[in-house]
Amino acid sequence: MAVTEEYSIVGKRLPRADAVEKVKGEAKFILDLAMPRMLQTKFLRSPHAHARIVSIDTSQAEALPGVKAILTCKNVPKIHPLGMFQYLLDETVHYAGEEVAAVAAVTREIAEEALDLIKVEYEVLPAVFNAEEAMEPDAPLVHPEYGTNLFHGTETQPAPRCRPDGWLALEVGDVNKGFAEADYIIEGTYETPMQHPCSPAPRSVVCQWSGDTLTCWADTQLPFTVWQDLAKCLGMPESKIQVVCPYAVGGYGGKHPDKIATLVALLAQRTGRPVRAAFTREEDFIATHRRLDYKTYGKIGVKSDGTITAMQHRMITNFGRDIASLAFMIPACSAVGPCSMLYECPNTKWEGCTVMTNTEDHGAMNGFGSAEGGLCVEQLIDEAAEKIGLDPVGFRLKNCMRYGDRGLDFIKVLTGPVDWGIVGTDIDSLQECLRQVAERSRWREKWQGWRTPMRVNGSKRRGIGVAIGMHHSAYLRYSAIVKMNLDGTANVLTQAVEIGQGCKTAMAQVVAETLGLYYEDVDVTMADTKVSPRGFGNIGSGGTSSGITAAKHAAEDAKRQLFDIAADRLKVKTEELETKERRIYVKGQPERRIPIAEVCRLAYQVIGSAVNPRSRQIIDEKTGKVIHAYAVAATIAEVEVDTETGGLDVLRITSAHDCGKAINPTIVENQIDMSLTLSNGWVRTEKIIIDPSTGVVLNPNLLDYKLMTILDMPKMEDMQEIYVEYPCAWGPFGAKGMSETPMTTAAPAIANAIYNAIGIRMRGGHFTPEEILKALGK
Amino acid sequence: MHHFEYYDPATLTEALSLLSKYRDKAKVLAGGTDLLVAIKGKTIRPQCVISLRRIAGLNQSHFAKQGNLQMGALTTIHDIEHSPELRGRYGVIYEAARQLASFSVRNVATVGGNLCNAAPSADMAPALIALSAVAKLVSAAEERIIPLEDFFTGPGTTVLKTDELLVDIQVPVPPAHTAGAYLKLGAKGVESLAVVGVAVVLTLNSEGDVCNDARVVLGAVAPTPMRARNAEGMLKGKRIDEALIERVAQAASDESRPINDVRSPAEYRKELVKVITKQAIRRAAELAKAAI
Repeated sequence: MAVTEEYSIVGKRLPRADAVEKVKGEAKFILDLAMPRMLQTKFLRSPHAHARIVSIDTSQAEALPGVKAILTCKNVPKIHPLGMFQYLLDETVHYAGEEVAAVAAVTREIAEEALDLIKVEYEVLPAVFNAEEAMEPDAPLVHPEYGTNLFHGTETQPAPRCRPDGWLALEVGDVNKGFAEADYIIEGTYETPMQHPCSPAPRSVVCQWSGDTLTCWADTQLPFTVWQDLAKCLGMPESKIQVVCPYAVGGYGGKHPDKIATLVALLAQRTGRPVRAAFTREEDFIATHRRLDYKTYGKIGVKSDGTITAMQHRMITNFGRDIASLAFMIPACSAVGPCSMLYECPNTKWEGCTVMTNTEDHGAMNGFGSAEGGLCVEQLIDEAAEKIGLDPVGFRLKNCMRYGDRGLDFIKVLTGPVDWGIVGTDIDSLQECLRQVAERSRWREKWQGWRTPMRVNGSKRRGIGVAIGMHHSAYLRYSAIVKMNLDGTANVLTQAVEIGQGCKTAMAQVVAETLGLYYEDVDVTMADTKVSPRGFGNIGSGGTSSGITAAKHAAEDAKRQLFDIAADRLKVKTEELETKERRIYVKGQPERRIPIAEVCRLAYQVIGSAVNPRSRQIIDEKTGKVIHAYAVAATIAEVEVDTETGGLDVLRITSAHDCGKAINPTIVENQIDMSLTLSNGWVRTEKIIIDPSTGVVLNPNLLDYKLMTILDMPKMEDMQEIYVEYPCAWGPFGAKGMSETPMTTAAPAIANAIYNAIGIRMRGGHFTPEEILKALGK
Repeated sequence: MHHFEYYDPATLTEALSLLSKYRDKAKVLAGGTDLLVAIKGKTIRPQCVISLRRIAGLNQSHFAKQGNLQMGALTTIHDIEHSPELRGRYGVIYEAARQLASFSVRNVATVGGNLCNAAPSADMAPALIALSAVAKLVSAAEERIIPLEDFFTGPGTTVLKTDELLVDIQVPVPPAHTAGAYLKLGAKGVESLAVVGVAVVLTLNSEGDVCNDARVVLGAVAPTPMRARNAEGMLKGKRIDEALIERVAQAASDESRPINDVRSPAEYRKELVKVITKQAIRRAAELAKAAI
């Protein structure tokens, strides 16, 4: 059911809209902003994981020449940024690294010197870092006023479906009955590790006041949330605040808002000068959020004929010190995702809890929930296939979800009601992905059977493994404006952020295709809260499925207006018109035409605008049920394990991803590479090491946090990126978000390949040489 | 960044006189790939930094009349990696240089800096010790030459007095039928600090079947780079076969004294010493035989 319709701009490998200015160094990132009289900020951070500030003396620091303002818990408003438990600057610190004071000075060096002059007396409190320890009845409480470390909702973040004891459940059918029907039951506990997003540029923000108006330049993927939180924290009308995010730098989930913008705005207000804060790499590691660590118990029941009768999961997640990111949102993506949907199974039960600990915030990161759940599910599925002696590709083809299977918005797990809809016809691409990776990787030739390596050469054993995965392709309410200009060009106004992923380019392609303009005729203004209409920013692969969808609707609105005028001029009905190459034509009569520029002049001003329809309005024609959007993928990995050193080499990755429609295939392939690299790093090299007695991060640098880079990945033809196009019901030209499915498939495919090579299941989540040697009993 | 006085003397005499004035308040700058990281990270706060980068000749290497290799302390790792003379008998130096950090670090990092920084994992140290290198240490008052294996006293510390500079490293001409290998394993395939580094240099008899002399030097598994003397002793005068390699590697592993740290657990390092030593002996023996 591939797309056959030919487009002139969509689907083309056009150069990125932001390439030239970035390559020439003309793009002004937040870190490039320099303003006269601008002050620099440094933060004093707590050395303790949990402590009460008994006293704080800033007099010596204030006396240092060049210091202009210092914020502490004594002189900032008593507000809870982002609906957190904590105050903006709190009298209690909750993790080692929490901001205790903010100093604005004329140079960074002076601000840093001032930090040493601030005298703080702490009363150290008991702390807890491990989720399971934090669940014990006598565990230290991260927020004593909440009475428990198990999140179960607050006024600002209600979780009505969560039990008061902190457990949230999602159940379909009857798992007990399902397990009773099974011939085999496979179970296991899998841990998945933390991971740091490691943006190429740690976060930064600049604030400047002009009268009672605040401008905030923020490197964030959610400018809209920064804007709203600034208004709330500062008690200001939204109209007086402008948040601008001209060129954001790779977030991978990590560029969520935090309270830093509010602190910098206060410093700017108090000093009457522009103020900038830019985190160092070390601060990025210790004081910005990271992927949650999970412990998942999974159980699967299968019949000898390969039917899955029941799936059950119980998940404990470490949420860190507060709830700035919506608690439960992340594990809920495991529930509505790999644990309940990836395989057709009538009986599923998922239970999860999010536990607060005295570690830095955990939060969304690429593939969140789906990757962690998937690493467990995809290994259990392999175990099940082995038990009944089926080929792992064949077993997945038989059982993977397909059109008409249940689907749900993940947020409903938390809020209810649990009104299951379905997944659309596009989901049948999952089988296509599997077939394509199997063919491209020559699976049939290479797979020698269970626990039979492809090749053994001395201490080196080669194995092959497969995994499938899914992640929601967020369909959010979103709006956009398309403003037509007198020369027939168009400007798009959107709250979506260009964060390196290529959204600006894809949006220009979609709008140009819709209006019948050339690619270069469309310019996109992104993420400026004073200019762009409402939109949530970039989350859950929603840039395409939500942001560009709104832009397409707005372009269609503009086109309708242009057609109304053109129809009048050409004396035809609007239905008889079509547009291409900057002109509006009467269908079938190319000589009857009018340039779009001329229509724009006749109209005085054409403004197209649109808000995405609500998701419940998208109904499958055949079944009458609401369609939910997911992107799916399949990956095959070939690895070589050195049983002497424990070394793991990933030799080849073949990975197929369903993107609905590749608006720009090059960008799709780049996104596949990006997320595959993240997935490799997660299990192979990247490891956040936290001192179990103090909660201090021991390796907050790129020397000892081994970030996966392009040099560590398979090269050229050994990285096979495949995109599959089964159009999605509402996406622009059928496109949907796919930037997170690689994250959900590479790690389990590697795990399964390791098993094929050495016959050992890696249940700890780190496939480092020392863990592999340990597993081999050395 | 912390404030400090910066000097860039043009002569060694000037540099030594500055050093004798500031002594422990001064830090010496060569390539800066370790020093600047430490200053920025505030692990050190020197009152002054004395750069050796303008001193002529310090970044040159050449073969002296009697054939000894003389390597100026400021010779960059890149230059070592790309010196055609540093192959064959000296090949172990090339192998260490080639695996040190990343391309961009090798462009500025120096052999003297790598040694004086005295990280237990320094890649150049095992290779040079394996070739019996000596270090020339100079102060305003005196000059002395010590075996490089006696240069290190602990992680980050050496025998250098506060007014002394390491000016060059001298490597005696290796005997005929000598070859060496340096193998390391880091947390990742590329650009990692060694979790274990092993240099092996073997001198075979003219028939190539007996090992006349051997050095086995381990990095990153003790407070300083260390010779595995038991392992060396077991190789001398013996025919090298797989059974011997196995025993020698076990001996080297037993001699090593690694610690647990964020980069690796001690047990894993000990296991790796065995594996890497085996591979290094095999490779050195192969190269030495090929040279006959």
